[in-house]
Amino acid sequence: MQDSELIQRCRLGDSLAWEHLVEKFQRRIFGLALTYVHNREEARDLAQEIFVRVFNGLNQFKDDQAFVPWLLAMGRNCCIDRIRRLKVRNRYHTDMPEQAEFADPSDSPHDDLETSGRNKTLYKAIDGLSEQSREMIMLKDIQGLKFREISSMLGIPEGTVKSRSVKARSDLLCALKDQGYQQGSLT
Amino acid sequence: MNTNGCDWVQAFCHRQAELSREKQDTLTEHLQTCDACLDFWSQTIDVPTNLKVDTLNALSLDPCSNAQLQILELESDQLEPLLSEHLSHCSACQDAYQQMTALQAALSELKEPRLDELFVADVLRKTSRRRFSWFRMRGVIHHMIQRPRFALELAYAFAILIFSSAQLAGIEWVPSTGVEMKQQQLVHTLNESAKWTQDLIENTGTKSQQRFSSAVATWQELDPHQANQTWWTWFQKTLNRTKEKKTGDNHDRNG
Repeated sequence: MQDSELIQRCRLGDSLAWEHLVEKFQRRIFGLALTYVHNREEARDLAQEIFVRVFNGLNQFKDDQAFVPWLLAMGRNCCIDRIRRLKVRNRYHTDMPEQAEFADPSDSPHDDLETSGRNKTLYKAIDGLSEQSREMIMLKDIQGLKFREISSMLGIPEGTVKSRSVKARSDLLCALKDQGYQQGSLT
Repeated sequence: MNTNGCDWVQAFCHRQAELSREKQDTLTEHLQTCDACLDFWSQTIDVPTNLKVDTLNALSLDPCSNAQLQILELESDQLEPLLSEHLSHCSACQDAYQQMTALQAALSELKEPRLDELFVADVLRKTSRRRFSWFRMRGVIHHMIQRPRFALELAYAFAILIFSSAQLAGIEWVPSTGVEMKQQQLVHTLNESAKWTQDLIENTGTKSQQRFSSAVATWQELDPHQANQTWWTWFQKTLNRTKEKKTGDNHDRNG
């Protein structure tokens, strides 16, 4: 079933269509959340919050636009809100562990994941990038959005998106090399 | 030209300025002296490939640097002919290309990490609380607009529901004037039937008693709340009147 049809049915209160939509995009949204918050439980909770927000905001979705970029944009905003809240909370509760941007990979959530060492290496390298490069890697290379879609999502010219994307890839390769990444270890 | 040149390169790269042939030489001169602009220029994909290659050649960049920049810009497996040709005879760039494709493949695998099976149920539980709120109402309204017959059906169903509820709650939907009229007729009939009322009081006329009971039951059925009181008042009056009449008759008989 097409996304547009699913959304149409969700709007009419079809619970099965909504269930199908959640099933279809759950892992993708979880992946998005995981690149922002570095804790599996936190990411799971955040992904649920994103879906609740999507559910409430389905009426705002226009039929002529693509669903996936809209969904990811909503997810991104939700992640940014959560990180902002975490930062404020950490500012007032200094006893709480720092969880925001650059978590120590040794107690990083990715250790909890049943991922291979390759994924750990990648997450660690992505964590080390600047916020701009990390976001570009996340949107372009992980989520596979087009330059045009990223451009409209971030509100910057398409040329700038392309430049940032190239720079982000270059930075990521440098970060992987710094971590002792060798040719062929990603394959 | 340095500051202005930087601005101009930025403007061109964002497609806000045109690059003519004569300006290309000036650009090349600027790029030779400004590393930041060279970096920016090299990484901008909007620049037509032939122009970029010309400029890079003019800057005497080696073909490997050029190829590696193009590798970083890779969008898909489709290679440009120039790059493809270079890769065929340069093992270092071939390695860089393989490294980039492997990185892209690995990154795309992070798109959908594994998730427990309870996730969907948790989301559905959180959203089901809101299901019957405004969102659902909006869906119904939307459906009604699309299909006017549905609105009529809905109105009919609502009407039946309201009437049924009212019946269950004991609310009479018969117009009150009709009830009052029937009650008045009944009172009139009962008042007029002095004979069988008298029979009832003297407990002698079974047939009259039955008729009387039937009339009272009908009355009560018509208005159960008020019937008893009104009937009792009427009954008391009738009883007193009958007693007086009987006493009067006795006096006449005795007198």
